[in-house]
Amino acid sequence: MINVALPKGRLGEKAYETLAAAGFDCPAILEKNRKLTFENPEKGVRYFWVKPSDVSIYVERGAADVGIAGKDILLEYSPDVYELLDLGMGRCRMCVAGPEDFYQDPNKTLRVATKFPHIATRYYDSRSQDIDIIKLNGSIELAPILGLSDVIVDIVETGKTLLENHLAPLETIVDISARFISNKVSYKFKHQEILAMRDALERNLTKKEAAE
Amino acid sequence: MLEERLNPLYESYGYRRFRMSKFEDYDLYAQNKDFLRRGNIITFTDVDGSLKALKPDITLSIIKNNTGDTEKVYYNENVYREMGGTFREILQIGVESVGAIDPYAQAEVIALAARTLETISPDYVLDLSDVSFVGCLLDGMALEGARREEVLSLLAQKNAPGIQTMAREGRLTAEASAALLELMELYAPLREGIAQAEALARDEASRQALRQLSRTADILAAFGLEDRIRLDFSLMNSLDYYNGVIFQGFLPNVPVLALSGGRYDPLPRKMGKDVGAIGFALYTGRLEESLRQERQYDVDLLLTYGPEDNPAELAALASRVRAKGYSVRCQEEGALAAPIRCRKTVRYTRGCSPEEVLS
Repeated sequence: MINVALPKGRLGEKAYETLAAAGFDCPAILEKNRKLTFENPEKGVRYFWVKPSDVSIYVERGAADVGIAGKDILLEYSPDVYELLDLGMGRCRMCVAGPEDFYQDPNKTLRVATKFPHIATRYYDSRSQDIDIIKLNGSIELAPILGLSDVIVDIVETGKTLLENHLAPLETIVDISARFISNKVSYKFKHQEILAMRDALERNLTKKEAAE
Repeated sequence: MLEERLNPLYESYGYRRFRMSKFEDYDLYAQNKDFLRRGNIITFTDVDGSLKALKPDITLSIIKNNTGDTEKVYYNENVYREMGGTFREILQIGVESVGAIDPYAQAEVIALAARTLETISPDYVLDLSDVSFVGCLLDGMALEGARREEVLSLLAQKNAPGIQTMAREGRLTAEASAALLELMELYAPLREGIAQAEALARDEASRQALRQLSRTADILAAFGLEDRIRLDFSLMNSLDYYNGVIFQGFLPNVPVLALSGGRYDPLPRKMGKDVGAIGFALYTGRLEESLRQERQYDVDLLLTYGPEDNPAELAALASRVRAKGYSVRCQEEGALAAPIRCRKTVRYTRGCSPEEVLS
């Protein structure tokens, strides 16, 4: 039995579709109810929905053998897991964004509001730039508007939210997409099963790419 | 207790127990900071003004005390380390072989690691790598500095998408990326794995590393461990100190690393000793939580009594039940007591026999 942690929301639903298409379906998951875990003993899988930022925790600690997590979460928390496959879905960019006419005053410490303090710190460290990190949990775009910060580091998908708030992406830090991750110990004890799942996902991906 | 089962194993291979005091000069750890996984150490000033530390590690002390002779030791010692943001006292069980490390001595330590895991669970997994082989391969790709670090951390994550991204960005040649992908995919029983790795060896040094590995595999086969050990080049220990074979052990239902070890000749060399060294440690702190057997009951029999009962007769009955191998707790009926799980509760009555209360 492989335990699969799926991120709640659109990405998780899409990821489940891919897994189902790859032969790991679990019809119970489509029923609308409040159940938290869904099992298909025939296919040897059990799914559960967790908060997207918690997927890597479930996998790292072995409560889930494998999971689907965004590269943003993996970069932010650096969990000790295997990152086996890029699923190519949930594509977006980690960006520095700010006012469209942003000018960086070299005499001031840059104030950066973000949900991803580690990613932001690492990025500015790599440029040897001192910054003041402001960790927020949501509505990051508000920070520069109210003067709480100079810029933000956040995920940009289409840039629409930024545009509506008269902000613009200034620099791209890294490209983000969903990854298939595995617990390191599970990989050893359930090697065949996990590889079968990875290979099925990979075949599915190439098929999709070919269709596009 | 775990150590009671493991110590006879080490002694049957002629390993001597190494004992040490709780404290060690702080200098030892300061000078070898990169050998310790985490730098945080509990220090204090001794009465003579010297700076001491509560030992965070045993290996350093064993090497420090080595006089250049061949030594085979094991230890069960408490170490003090930071875990999850606080200092903890952890029992560490380990084995070190110091001196002239010939192929037999090396294989013996690996075999002992396997037997250690086997003692805990027959379904263990022991994985082996050789950092010198990985090093040669990366040298052959002319990977230095930050790029080498990046590749090593991707290798540790079996991060195929990361390698592909590096290749796409032109930071790895197509040939190097293909070899790295093959390297991280490799996960097979030792001999089979070595055969697969031969296709990746490009120079004499890496072929030499594989030949040595293959010799180790032969000796391990003689220990009856041929199929139990798998080759996995994605294993990483702190690389600066390990220079040859490294290995890690895993146990079913323990979601973290259970055992880790390897060949670390650079450490004694750094301390000015012309010896080699190989050893391993078992992370008992992590095992305890997973291995602790769930007890269903705290006590077999709860014998309740009232104020009118004769304590001497009650004590006599309880002793006779205990003599039959059952645990008995006597408690006043209706007393406010902390919750306890008992297999059976019996109200004491005068003159009843052990057979009656147990039936």
